[in-house]
Amino acid sequence: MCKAIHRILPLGNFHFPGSFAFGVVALLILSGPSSAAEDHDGLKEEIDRLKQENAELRKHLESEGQSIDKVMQRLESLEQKSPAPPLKEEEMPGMDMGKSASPFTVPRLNLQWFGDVDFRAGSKVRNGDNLPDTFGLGQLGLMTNARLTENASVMSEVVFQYKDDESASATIERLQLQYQANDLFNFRLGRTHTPFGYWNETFHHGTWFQTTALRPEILRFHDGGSVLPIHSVGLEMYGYQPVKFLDLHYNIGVANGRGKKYTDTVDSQDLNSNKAVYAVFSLAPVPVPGLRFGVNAYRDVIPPDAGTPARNGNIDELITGVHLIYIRDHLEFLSEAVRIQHDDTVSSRRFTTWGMYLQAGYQSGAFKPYYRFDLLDAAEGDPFYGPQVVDVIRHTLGLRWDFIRWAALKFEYHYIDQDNLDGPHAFYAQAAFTF
Amino acid sequence: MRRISAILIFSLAIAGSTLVHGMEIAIVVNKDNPVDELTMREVEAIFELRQQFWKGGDRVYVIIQQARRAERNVMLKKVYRQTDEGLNKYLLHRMFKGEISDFPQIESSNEKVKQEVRKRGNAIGFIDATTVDNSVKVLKIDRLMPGSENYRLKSEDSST
Repeated sequence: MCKAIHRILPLGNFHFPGSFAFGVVALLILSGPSSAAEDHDGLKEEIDRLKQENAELRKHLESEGQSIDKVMQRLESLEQKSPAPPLKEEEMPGMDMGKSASPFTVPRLNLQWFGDVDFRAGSKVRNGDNLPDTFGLGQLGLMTNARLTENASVMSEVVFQYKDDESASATIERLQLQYQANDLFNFRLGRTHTPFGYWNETFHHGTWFQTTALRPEILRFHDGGSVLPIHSVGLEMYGYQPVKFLDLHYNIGVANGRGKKYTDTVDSQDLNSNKAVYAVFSLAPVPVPGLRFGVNAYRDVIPPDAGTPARNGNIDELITGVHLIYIRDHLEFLSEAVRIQHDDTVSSRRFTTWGMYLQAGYQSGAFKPYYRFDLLDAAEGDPFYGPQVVDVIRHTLGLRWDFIRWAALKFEYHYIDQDNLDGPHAFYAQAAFTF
Repeated sequence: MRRISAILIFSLAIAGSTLVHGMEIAIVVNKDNPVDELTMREVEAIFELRQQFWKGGDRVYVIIQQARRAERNVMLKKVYRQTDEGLNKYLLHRMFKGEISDFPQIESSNEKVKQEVRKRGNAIGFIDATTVDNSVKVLKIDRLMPGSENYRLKSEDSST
């Protein structure tokens, strides 16, 4: 039955079910002999028309198929062709390693932002007044780094932030041209992080890198600066040398000294001809991976300040310090201690300020509980520090949660023993991130 | 059922990229590089970018394999001693401190590492020791070549 219908109708490869074919034939029979006779010619015409239409469709389909075949052949030929040869290094923008003199190549720049947003509740004093709880924007730092040649590179760090008086500021925190002769002899010229011990050079404005929300007390910004000269403008030599069972790291530098206030960094014009000199030596014993310890010293002559009655002569400054660090697997232990000695050449008085911190943390998955003890024992009557630098003992208990790879939340409780505070308790929360 | 089978096959394929059965890693350099051997301590210092220069004075060009490669997993365990995430953070921190100006070059296969090492006289990379050919030089590590009994750059268990 189906074959018969297919013979009558140009249906190609379309197959009717048997019942459907039977129905069509029955319909034709039931339509009556008179109508069949009358419609015979019409039906034949219709069949011819359909045959012609089918032929046209087949022709069209064949032509479409040929087009598709051509496209497929073209695609296959393209896939089989080998990919275009890569550009040579000197032809790539931003890949100049100093070998090409082409004016169209520039050093490749690495950019990285670091930022934090904070919340503080509890003790904070400004001008004798306790401040209310607050949200606050922390710092937004832009680190840029570029290799100029195989041996030379440049890096900068600009920090944007709002100060306590709500004024906005942008500061060049670092701008240094570096030349690496080899692993042992490297040179750095410009504004750098003074390599005191460990923390100052390791974390500084990169809040996301550091476990805690706040810096240690000896490196915290008091009235815009730290009791230590955390930045230096000058020339530094540094290097790394494996020696038997020890890895030796060193930094030696000469830089502009202190400014009028202890918070100042002298960026453009030193106040006297005496340059500050500093050195750091640290050792990492190979048999105890993760352990590092070292010593550091900083020497300067602080010039007199006509605006401060007690400072009518030079002050000899000698800062010495030690650090002991152990970071291995999940454990982090950081400790530093500094002694800041100021010898007033007019009064012949010596003022000695001590500071230290001990910090321990343990990483467990994305969480890191930690504790830090801070101590700052300020010398009474030190004419250089003045009344802003006071004794502080601070206990910090915190939890860091690295909830995603490039961002962390930190929650800290602080117990602070400090004379001018309203109460000893404070709470800090910080979101620190990099992008 | 078909969907479950597909998921299982896909999972096994993914797992296969990190499962290693006694994989040994060969440290390879350009054939023109005069260095023939390194200590394990030097390998660590070079791949952690603490040692940035060859003894001859050329800068070391470090090539590492991309994340989730079995070869990289062995290196993370034996050399870097940290997770992939930890390595990323470590390298970014080195750059933040001004200790490096470039990140290591990342390659996606043993073949591509060999290609780069062939191209660059100062390059060093790591590959699956079974893929070593005469286009690159394999360095002895602590005086041992891959295949030696006490060779240290190999996975100790069946997974890394």
